[in-house]
Amino acid sequence: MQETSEPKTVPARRRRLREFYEGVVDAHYRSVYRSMLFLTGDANLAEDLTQEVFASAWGALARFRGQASVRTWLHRIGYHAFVDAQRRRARDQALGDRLTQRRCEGPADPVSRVLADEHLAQVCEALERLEIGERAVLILHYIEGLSYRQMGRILGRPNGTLKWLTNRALENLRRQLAGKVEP
Amino acid sequence: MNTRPTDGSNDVSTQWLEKHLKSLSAVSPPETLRQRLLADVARAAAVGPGERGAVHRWSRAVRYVAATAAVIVATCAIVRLGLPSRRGQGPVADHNEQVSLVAAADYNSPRPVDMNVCDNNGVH
Repeated sequence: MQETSEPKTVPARRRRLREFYEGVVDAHYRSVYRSMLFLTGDANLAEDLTQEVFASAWGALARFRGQASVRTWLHRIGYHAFVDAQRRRARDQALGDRLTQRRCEGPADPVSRVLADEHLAQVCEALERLEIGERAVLILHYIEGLSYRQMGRILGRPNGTLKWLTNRALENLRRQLAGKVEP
Repeated sequence: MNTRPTDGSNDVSTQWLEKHLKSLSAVSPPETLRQRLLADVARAAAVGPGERGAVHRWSRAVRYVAATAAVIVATCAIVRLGLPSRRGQGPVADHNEQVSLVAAADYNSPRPVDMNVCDNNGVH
């Protein structure tokens, strides 16, 4: 009895999972891509990392216990994927050269439409010059609109530390932009 | 949070920064990325996430069992056979206040000379 029903239930389960996961991709891939883009500063690398994030998330879907929201979970995977990419960069000079290419440029780049605004382009440039931790909190908090609690789950730091880090990051960003933009 | 306005110089305010940072959320990925991601899902769905995770769990379990079995076998061997003896190192005798190994003894012809036994209390 069970043997005859098994082949029917497994494909059905996989189909449901696939539909669910396609919904997850649709709902979150923009946000994950943006984080990767502003963390790495490279549109191509951001695409690769976004793919890596969703592949890892699919592999870990069975272990996802729903303690965090799917969005927070994906961003956590994304941040670790970025940190791993940074480590690889240290070892792999080719990837390093790619990372240090000028970011957010090119007519085919969808980012260029937004960065046509001179002020936004300068903010983007200044953001890239911040250290990784500061860049991450500004991206997650202001660009992605995550709360400190959600950021704490992603970055593994307490709220107080994240608030302090956000203030310091804003101050450093302001310092980077001083004299370059006219508010 | 510090929300000081511009001070008249070229400095920017926190509100200005926050506003422009939030504007960066208008950036959207290329449409091809969505297609690639959905294609990845279709490819991965042929296997299923549960199966992939199960493989990792099994291989990890096999490693743990193998390591535990190796420790048990080694412990049993030591308990049964005892610790390896220090071969070639016999009892130590004090000859003229010098520590040295006892010479090999011929147990088939036990003579005091062969066994390096000295009767210090005996009458010479």
